[in-house]
Amino acid sequence: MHIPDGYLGPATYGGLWAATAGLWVVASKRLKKTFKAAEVPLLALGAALSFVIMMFNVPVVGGTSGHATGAVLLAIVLGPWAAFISLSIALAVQALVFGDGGITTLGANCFNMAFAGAFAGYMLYRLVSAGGASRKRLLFSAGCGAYFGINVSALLTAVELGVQTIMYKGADGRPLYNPFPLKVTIPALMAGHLTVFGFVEAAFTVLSLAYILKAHPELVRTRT
Amino acid sequence: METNRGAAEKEIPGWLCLREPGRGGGKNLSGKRPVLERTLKSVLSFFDDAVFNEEVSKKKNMFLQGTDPRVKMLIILALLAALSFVKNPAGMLPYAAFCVLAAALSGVPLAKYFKRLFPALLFTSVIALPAAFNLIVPGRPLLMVLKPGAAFAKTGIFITEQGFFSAVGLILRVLVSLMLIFLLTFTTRPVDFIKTAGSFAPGFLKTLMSVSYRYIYFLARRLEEFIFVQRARGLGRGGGRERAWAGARGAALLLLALELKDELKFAMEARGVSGHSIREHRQKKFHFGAREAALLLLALTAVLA
Repeated sequence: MHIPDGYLGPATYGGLWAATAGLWVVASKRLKKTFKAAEVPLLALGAALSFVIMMFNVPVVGGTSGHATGAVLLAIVLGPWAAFISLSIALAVQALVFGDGGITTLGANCFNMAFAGAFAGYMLYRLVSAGGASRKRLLFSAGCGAYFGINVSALLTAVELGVQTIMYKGADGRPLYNPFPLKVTIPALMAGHLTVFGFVEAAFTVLSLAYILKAHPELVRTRT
Repeated sequence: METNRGAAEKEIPGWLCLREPGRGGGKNLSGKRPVLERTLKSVLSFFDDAVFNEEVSKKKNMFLQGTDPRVKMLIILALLAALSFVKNPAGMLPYAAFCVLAAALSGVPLAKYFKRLFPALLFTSVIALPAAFNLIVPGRPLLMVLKPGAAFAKTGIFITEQGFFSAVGLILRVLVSLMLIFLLTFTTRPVDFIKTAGSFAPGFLKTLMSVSYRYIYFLARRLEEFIFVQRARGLGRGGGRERAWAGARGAALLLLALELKDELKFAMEARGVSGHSIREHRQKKFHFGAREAALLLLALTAVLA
């Protein structure tokens, strides 16, 4: 789901960089208030962990493979703002140090996966688990949240890619960046995420959370 | 050579020569344990890339390695941004020439440099080539594939001029962007890279980036150990059990990270971290000499060409 460099035009990636930078400032301020200084290492480890979680490679149909992002799992354990910062750092290290993902598109990738994915998934998790905290209900809520979160990220990615054909055209009418219109990008991305990758993310989140609830149930907390 | 191998085989007991499924990286394993094998592949490729970057970036007296990392990063990022404004595919070629020249002057093995681009070339080509057809990008016909009149394509299927140049433009833009990024990652030591990237970020994020980078290696090594243990046990084959293994190991890494938190807190305090931000490391004085001027000149030539 990472958008590489070259697929988005300057106004799109610039706008998303600006929006994400603003969110980073808000998140930093919020975390400085809610996180004690002693908990800063937890955030750093969360970032390292999300990087490593993306290494788990689950094969899917057609010889391709997908990986979980762990966005909702991190949001459940660390809180959504901390998950946003942790995932952003993981994506930044991937792009800057290893050349995976994109640098001009880093703002877009962080916005889609780290912000929208984590928050949307976490909000659904809170909504579904409200009013009861049985183990089964928590796991079900986490699965729903993870499935929803990754699909929200995929939809945003599809829309950002699809609008390039409307925003940027050469003098002869040729698309200058991603050449596929919305009617192609939305089905292409959503089909895979609704049928396969959403379930991979949900399964990973549920299995991980089940293990945490068994070993350290006190870690599943509600941080806003 | 053959004789030696034959002699060695005679000395090795027969039971040791058996390729027991689950105890090695045999061909049959990849089909039976896809999660383990594919995850191991990504972990090993991560370490390979890290070692390669470290080796190339440590080369002394080379063009980009000797350039001030802040100047280098700013110039390459500016080139990346400038590239995104180029509309004509031919206009991207000077950028590619700049990358090849700078890589050669910096002792980057060109074969490895191009090899790292290959997966992106393959992936982008698969994505971009359908855009060459009139079904995606309408325009002037360039090459007819299916004549008009067919039941499922009344207007025919053909490659359009606009679609062709759009696909070529996308492939070139993605590849040249990657060439610029790899130029930066190959010639900058990861620790310097994080320090330099951090110098453009607020203190809180800088601390997080710097600390988390070090722990990525630690956690990746643990993941590698988990995989080897699982392989050695010969357990957990089959899609469902392997996915359960991946979920449990993900959680185990999370718990490990949580357990490390206190240890890391003391380590950070001992190294001068107080509160939310790390005490400023004394960075080298900003340097703009002959190398930096040459890089700027080369970059400007690429942009203006």
